[in-house]
Amino acid sequence: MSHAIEVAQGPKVYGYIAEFEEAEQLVAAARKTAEAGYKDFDAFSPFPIHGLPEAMRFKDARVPWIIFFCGVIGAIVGYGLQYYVTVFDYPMNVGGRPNHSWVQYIPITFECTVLFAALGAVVGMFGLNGLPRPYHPVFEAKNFARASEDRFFLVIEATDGKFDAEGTRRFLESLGPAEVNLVEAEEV
Amino acid sequence: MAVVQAFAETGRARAALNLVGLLALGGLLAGFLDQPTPALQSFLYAWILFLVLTLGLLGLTLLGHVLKAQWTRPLMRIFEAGGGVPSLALMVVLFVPILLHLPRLYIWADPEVVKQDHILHLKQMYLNVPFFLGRFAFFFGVWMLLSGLLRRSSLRQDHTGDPKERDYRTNLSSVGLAAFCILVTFAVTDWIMSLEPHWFSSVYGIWFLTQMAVTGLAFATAVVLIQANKRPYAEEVTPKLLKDLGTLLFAFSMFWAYITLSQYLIIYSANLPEFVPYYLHRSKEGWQAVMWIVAALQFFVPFLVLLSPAAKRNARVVLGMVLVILTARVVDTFWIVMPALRHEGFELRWTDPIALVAVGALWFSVFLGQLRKGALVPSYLPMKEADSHASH
Repeated sequence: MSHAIEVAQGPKVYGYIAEFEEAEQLVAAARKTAEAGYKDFDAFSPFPIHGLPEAMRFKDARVPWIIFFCGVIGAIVGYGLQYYVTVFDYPMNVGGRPNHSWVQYIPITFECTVLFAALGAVVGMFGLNGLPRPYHPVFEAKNFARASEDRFFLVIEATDGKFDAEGTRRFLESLGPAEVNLVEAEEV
Repeated sequence: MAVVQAFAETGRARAALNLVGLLALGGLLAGFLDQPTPALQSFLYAWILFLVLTLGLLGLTLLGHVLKAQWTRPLMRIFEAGGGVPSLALMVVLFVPILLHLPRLYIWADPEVVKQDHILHLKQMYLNVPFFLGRFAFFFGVWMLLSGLLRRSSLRQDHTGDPKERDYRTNLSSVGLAAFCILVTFAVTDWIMSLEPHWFSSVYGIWFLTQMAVTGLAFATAVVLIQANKRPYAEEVTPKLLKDLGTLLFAFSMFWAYITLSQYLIIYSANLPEFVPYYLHRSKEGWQAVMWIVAALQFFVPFLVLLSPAAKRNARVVLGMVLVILTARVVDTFWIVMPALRHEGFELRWTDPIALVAVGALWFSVFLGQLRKGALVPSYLPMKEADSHASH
C-alpha cells in the first residue's frame, strides 16, 4: 500500500516528521496533534512512554479482543483434548475416579488458555502492525536512526484529511521541535 | 483546609452501632443460654470473618509502606484504622467467650476426647491450652506493636512533615511484613485449621493471607468508592486509581482461585483417607451449592468483569465488584468454618446472622472512631517527590 499523494512539484510526500529532544515534549506534541484533529499520525521513541497512547487518543482495541478469543479457544482446546483422551479415546480407571475428572483438567486448561492468549497477543500485534516490515519511508528521514537511541519523533502522514504541505509543516514547527523534515514516499 | 465531607456524622453512627452491637450480643447470649454450642459456633464464625478483615487491613498497611505506591495514599488511613491497635484489642476481647468454652469448639481441648484419640494425644505437645494461650498472646502482641508504631509514625508525619518517618515505616514494615506472614500462618493453624485437628494442609497459611489481602483491599476500596463524591475522596478517585485498584482486585481474585484450587487438586489427586474428609464435609447436603456460589462470586464474576480495561476505570463497576467480593468472603468463611463444627450438612441457624451483626457493629464502631483520629488522606505522598517522578 502506498501512502503517496501527488504534490504539484518535487518528490512524492509521505508526511512531515518532527524531532524532539525530550519524551515529555513528544507527549505534549502528540496531545496537541490529536486536539488539532489529525488522525493519521504516529509517534516513535526509544522506549515505551507512559501516557503517550492516551495523548495520541489511540483507541484501537483489536489486540485485546484477539487475545480474549484466543484465550477462550485455548481453554476449549485444552479442556476438549483432555476430555476426548480420557473419556473417549483411552478411558482408564485411575483410583476409581470418574473418567471425566474435571478437577485434574484445570491446570492444563489454564496453561492452554495462557499459551493461546500469549500467541494471539504476539501474532495479533505483528499482524495488525503489518510486521515484519523491512522498509518504511520514515527510515529515510534525517536523524531517524536516533529514534532507537535518544530522540523522539512525530510523523503526520499525507493521507490525513487535514494534511496540507505548508500548513502541517508550520503546525509541527509550532510544537517546539528541534527540527521538522519532509518524509518522501517510497517509489512504487 | 477543605471541608471533610466523608464520615461527617460518625459520632451518632458510632452510638447507633454500639447499641446495635450490644443488643445483638444480648440476643446471642439468649441463644447461648438456650443452646450453648451452636451459639458459640456462630460467634466463632463471626469472629474469624472480622479477624480476617482486621489482619487483612494490617497486612495491607505493612505492604503499603513497603511498596510506597500511589494507590495506597487514599486507602492507607482506612488500612490503619481497621488494622489498628483498637481493632486488634477488640478481637482479643471478643475471643474471651470462646476461650472460656474452648472444648465446645476445639476437640483437642477436651481431655476426654484426647484420651481416646491416639493422634490427638501425640499432637498434645503443641495443641494444649496453655501453649495455645501463650501463642495467642504472642501473635496479638507482635501485631499490636507493629500496627501501633506504624500508625503513630504515620500521624506524626502529618504534623511534622518529617520525611524520615517514611523511611522508618518502610524499614519497620519490611521486617514486619515477613513476621506478619509467618505469624498469620501459625495463627490460622491454631484458630481455624485446628477445628479439624486430624487434618492439615501446607497451603493453609498462604490461603488465608490471600483471603486477608482480598478482604482488606475490597473493604477499603468499598469505603472510598461509596463516598467517592465526598471530600477528600472526590479529589483522589481518578481513573488511574480505579484502574490500579481494579487490577489489584483482579489479580488477588485470580491468586485466590489459584491457591484454593491447588489445595483441592492436591487432596483430590492424593485421595488419602486423612485428607479427604475435609472436602467430604464441605461438599455434602447443600455445602456443594455454597462452594459453587463462592467460586462464582470470588472468581468467575470479578474475573470476567474486570478483564476489560474500561470496566476497571469505571467507579460503579469497581464498587459493584468489590461488594460481590465482600459477599463472597462472608459466604466463603462460613463454608470454611461451619462444616468443621456442624457435620449434618448445610445448616443456617438464627444465631449466625445475629453474631455477624454483633461482631460487625462493634468492629465498625471502633473502625469509625479510629478513622476520625487523623486526616482521611495523608498530607504527604507515599513516595518522595523525585522517586515518584522517576517511576513513570
